[in-house]
Amino acid sequence: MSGASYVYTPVERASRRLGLFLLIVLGLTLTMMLFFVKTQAQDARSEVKRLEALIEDHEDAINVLIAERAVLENPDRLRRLSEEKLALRPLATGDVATLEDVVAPSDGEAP
Amino acid sequence: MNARPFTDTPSLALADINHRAVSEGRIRIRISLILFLGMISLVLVRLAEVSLLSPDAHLRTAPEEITQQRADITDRNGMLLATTLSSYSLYAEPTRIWNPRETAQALASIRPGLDPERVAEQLASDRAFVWVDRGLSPKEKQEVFELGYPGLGFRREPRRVYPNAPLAAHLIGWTDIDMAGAAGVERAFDERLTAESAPDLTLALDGRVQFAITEELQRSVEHFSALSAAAVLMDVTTGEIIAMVSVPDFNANDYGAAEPEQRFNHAAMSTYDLGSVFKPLTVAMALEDELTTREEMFDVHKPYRVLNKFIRDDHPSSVPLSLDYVLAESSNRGTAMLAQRIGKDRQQHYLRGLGLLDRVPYELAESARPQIQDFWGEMATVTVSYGHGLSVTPLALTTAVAALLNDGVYIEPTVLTRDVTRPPKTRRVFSSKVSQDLIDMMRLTVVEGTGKKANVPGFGVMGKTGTAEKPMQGGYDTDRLVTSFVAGFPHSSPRYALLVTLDEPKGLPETYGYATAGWNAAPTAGAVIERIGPMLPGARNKPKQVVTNSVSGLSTEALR
Repeated sequence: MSGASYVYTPVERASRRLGLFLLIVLGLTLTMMLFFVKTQAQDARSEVKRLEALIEDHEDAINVLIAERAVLENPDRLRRLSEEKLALRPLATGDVATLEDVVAPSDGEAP
Repeated sequence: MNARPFTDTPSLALADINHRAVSEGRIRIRISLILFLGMISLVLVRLAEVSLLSPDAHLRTAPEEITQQRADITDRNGMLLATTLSSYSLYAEPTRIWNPRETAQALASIRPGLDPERVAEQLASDRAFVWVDRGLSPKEKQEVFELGYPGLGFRREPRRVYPNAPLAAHLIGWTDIDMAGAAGVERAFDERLTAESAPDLTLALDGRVQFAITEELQRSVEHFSALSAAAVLMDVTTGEIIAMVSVPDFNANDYGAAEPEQRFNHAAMSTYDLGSVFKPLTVAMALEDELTTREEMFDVHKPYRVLNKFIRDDHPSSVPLSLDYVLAESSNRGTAMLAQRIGKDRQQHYLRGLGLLDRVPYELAESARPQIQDFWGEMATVTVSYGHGLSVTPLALTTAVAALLNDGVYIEPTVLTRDVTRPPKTRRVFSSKVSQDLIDMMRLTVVEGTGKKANVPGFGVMGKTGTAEKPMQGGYDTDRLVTSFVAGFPHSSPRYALLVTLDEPKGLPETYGYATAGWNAAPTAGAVIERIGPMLPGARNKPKQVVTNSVSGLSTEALR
């Protein structure tokens, strides 16, 4: 009769069960691996964001320091301080000498 | 009785088969249950780890805002002129504020600019969210944070800062509240500054020189009670704008508080009849077209009539003057004679070549067009020859005179440093010989002529004074002057062109009541050169020296 069901032999049944078991184990293993990998990726992403935020904070701090240095080196401030603390004044023409201004010693004269 | 064993019956065999199937099913269910419980446990463990055990769970894990990048601007020596810092905007959720009045008072103690009444009103409103203040520094943010009041929060925002303000404020410009360039370099190079990972923008500007010139101009404005002043310093060999000063100036960190007059860049946006500083250009035109020679004598002691008007000399000479002294003594009559020989067409040709009939073609938007007369007849040709009837910006005239000093070659100016990748656009306007003639004649003007007060030993200053009356309805106002001094240095190898302009300086007892350029603009230019000369490379004059050739025994004059 054509509707008669196929009867598995014991060996076939055993191999089917083993195959199914292995598939389940493989599926579970892959699921767990995926879970752990995704968890690690999430952790890594969080770490990257934390580090980026940290870098940004440090860059901000560096920028503030550079700006503060620029304020401290402001020509107006330096002029005021050099006048008040060091009694200096802006450079005048007479303050600068060139090599042409230095009289060369004549022969026999000590330099 | 049938004694066959129970298992031998077909019905019982079927029952046995069902029992095995049920047993297998139960085993499978148990295995699935174990696996399911294992996975649930795994999820629960991870949940606990993430929520309870994560060591950094309390830390901020992401930048609060994506910050807008904008590159720094520095001067040619690396001086920081503009940078971007983080600032904080303070907001509040009024529904979470316990005591609006107390909170407002505490905030006002940290930010004195805040109005406690207004803030208290904001905090007591029914709205879900209100902005309280902007531009808090990191320190102020921390102080607000430490208040511990609920319902307050911060948002990080970039803020443009000018640490050396007001230095070069007109040139650098400023950004609006959204960090978009609104004026000056900030506007002209907005795209370049906001590009991803854009390097710093290095200007040709020298911050120290800019500061020294600003200080000297402010001193002159105060001393001579002038309305304003402007100055431009340019490297004639490259077209680099080393300094561009406009007084009064303003603090770009708070540009909104500045008056419009303070924000106005007089060096590039104000057009003036600049007067006799045009005369070197007229003399050069006449020499270039071979319409005169330096030896020609000009009879300038008699009134000189053009059409129906007499040309007046402020310092009329009683004797005929050579061309050198027409310039040195600033004779309007002599210059008018030259202008008539040059004619309108050639005059316009040269003025166009020098860039004086159009806006200065440099990077910034701040560049005013010259004001040109509608009718340019013979009289206009004459008046333009000595700087009346054609209004140009100080920047435009500096560029033109720079061409005169640069071997006669015009170079388009720039606010950036030049390098091999950015060769300047150039064009020859005058010959080398004419350029050298004018260099010598402008030196004579400083040594013996109207520009004596600009002479600075060691720097070989060349120059020309210019005093112009301001135009008024139906003529010129003799009481309101614009005085200028255009200088070049050093004479041995011209490297720098400087223009100083004072708007409406007043006469003083020490100037015998005179308010002309020789009494105010020239000494100001001299003071500027004395300050900046030692800072500038190639500014010191190398005088001509007689060198004896040991072989031939001949003396040759050479520039060392």
